[in-house]
Amino acid sequence: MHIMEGFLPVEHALAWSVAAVPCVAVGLNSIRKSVRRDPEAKLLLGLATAFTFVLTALKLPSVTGSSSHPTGTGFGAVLFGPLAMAPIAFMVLLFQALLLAHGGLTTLGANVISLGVAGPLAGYALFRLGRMLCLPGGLSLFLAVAVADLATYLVTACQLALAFPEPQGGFLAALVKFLGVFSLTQLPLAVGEGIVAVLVFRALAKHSLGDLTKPGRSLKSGEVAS
Amino acid sequence: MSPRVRTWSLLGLFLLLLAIPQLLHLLSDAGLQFVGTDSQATDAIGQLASDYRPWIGNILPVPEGEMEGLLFLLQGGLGTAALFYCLHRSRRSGGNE
Repeated sequence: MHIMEGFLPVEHALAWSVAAVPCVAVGLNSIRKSVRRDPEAKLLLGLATAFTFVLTALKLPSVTGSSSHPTGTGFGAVLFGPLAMAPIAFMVLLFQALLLAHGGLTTLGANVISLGVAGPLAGYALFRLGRMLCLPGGLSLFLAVAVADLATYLVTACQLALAFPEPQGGFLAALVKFLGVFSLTQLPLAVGEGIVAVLVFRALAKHSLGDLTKPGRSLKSGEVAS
Repeated sequence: MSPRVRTWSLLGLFLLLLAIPQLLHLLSDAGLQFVGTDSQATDAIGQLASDYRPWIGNILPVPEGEMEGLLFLLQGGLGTAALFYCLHRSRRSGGNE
């Protein structure tokens, strides 16, 4: 989910916004470098952005009787590194806050941190770990994308619990409550997102971009396509 | 397993994952009513801090009912179009390599 407009106290909204600014700046720099190294990357960046754009618009029903949406940021994080996703998440979130009343401008910073920073970092770390353990490329991609999805919701739950601690139990009790809302619902969606990411990557690798290991790319297409 | 079989089985797995919740709820008495986690989280905030009121509202009025569905559909549609455009373009540019 995106935290809705006005649903973070002023100080929290401000603090998360301040934290998000350098992340977006560093991300823009990283994107600029990727594109300078390899102009073809623009197309892939567009693809990664569209992927996040679509997946955050999908409110999917889950086994728990609730619906939620995937995040789509793990895919771009694997292709371009985790830093590149903060500006992409910013763009997607801004669009949704302005036009769809999904999320909000005051909560934009907090949502950029969860969707564009925490999720991609966790996903990318897991991807690297998977490669280190010599897991197949496709499996690593799947795990990375699924974990990026879950990590995003974990951080959202933390942000809400920080803002609204339980009167007695404090932060932890509130965290458990918010995690209770998200965790079960999100699990199947994260798995689904991982599968879709692998499918998109295979489509990408099969017909084009014979080698995704150019500088800044971390996957050989053959590893996922076979 | 050949790549093609693997692709189709992944696709099938994904569709199954989408279909299971729908089937479960069709079979149960509750019918097809899925509550969004967004509103559940908002409810949770209401329980934890009952006197909290959002201090600012959305700039544009929140779309409701069918309009909301339409807007989300539009976003998904636009994004999917962009996605396939990129796939198509990369396919062409990749053909020369």
